[in-house]
Amino acid sequence: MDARFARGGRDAFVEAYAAHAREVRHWVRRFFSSAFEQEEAVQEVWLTAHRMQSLYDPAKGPLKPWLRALSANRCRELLRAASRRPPVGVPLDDVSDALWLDAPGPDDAVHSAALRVEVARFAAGLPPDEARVLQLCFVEQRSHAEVAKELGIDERRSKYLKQKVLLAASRDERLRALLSESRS
Amino acid sequence: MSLALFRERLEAGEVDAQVRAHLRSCDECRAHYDLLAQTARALGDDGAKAERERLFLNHPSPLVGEGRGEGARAGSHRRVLAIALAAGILLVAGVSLVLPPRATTPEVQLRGSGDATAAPFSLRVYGKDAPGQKVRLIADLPGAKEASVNPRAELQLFVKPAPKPGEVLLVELRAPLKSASLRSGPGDDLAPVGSAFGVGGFGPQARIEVCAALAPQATPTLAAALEAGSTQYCSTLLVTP
Repeated sequence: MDARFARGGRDAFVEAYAAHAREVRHWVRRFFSSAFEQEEAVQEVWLTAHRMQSLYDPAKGPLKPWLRALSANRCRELLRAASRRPPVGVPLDDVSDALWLDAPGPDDAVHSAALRVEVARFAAGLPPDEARVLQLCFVEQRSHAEVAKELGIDERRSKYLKQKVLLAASRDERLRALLSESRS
Repeated sequence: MSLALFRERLEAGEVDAQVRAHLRSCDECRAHYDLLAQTARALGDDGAKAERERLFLNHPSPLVGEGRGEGARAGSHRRVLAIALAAGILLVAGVSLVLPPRATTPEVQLRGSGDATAAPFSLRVYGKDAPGQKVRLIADLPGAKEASVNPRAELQLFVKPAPKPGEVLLVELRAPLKSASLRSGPGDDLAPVGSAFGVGGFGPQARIEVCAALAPQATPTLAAALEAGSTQYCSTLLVTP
């Protein structure tokens, strides 16, 4: 795959995206606490990777470290452009290989465990149809057409229930407290 | 006022280019969007589908034009690439600096131990200086040999690379008032070692010796590992206010 990526072309880029999208999202999230900024930065990283695709040399190393370094540099550039400093915990002088980005961090592990508990509690308190929508729309990321077919409802109802579950979760005090802690 | 105008669209997930343009400049709307997005993430939607759609279907870039026979875009695509390549040539020296070297030595040696008998692993100490603070990388042992930690710090150890199947990293934390034994768990590239722990339990102004050794999975203790011939690597955490 690395060699194909270096040769260029959309298919190779799509393949690399499929292989590394999750990692790039993880890396970018270390630089920005806002979900919106994370999404924007991820798009920027992939567009930059696409522009620099022909500059990647597989003889110098695998694609993943190249993407990791590119992600770190692009995120720093975006922060500099906004006259902002990277968050505490982001090394300013690590310009070698950004290896630190690969670490999940204990905060992630602890936070994820606490979130799982609270989401399970929240889901257990939902009416059955909403609990199913939570599973299908959020966990399985099915389309509204698929959810509607599965539940025997129309798409409009599926959208309504998904929105209802999301809003209820966003107003759940314990979930909000956990999410607020992760944002700070 | 602004959030009132956009709230319905944000909550319905109708975030098109126009809404995104607004979110870039409106703190209030962006805060609400962030809350919804993070909630959705907590529920299980990591945004992958929306991200992919936006990148490949909606972006007005060569990513959309390629492979679809959209000849009218080809010329502009070449111009964009030419400009990007020119910029890329200027950047390539910088890019080459950040590309990892084809090192044959273990990664931990890049951390500066310079020791020919360096450990075949990196024991990374992550932690919060106090409850509620952000997590940061505090030390990379045993290369760093010594690191300072706050008495209120909460720490979690990770080992990189993760031990091979059939192997485990055994760690002992030793201080005058307390000792603790930790074992590495499963992981892809980075594996947790034991659970998070508070530094305060080891006593104020303590020196916590951190010793680690790789051993077969069934090895019960660090002492047993050393008796069987494993090599121990030790460092010190200095508890300083």
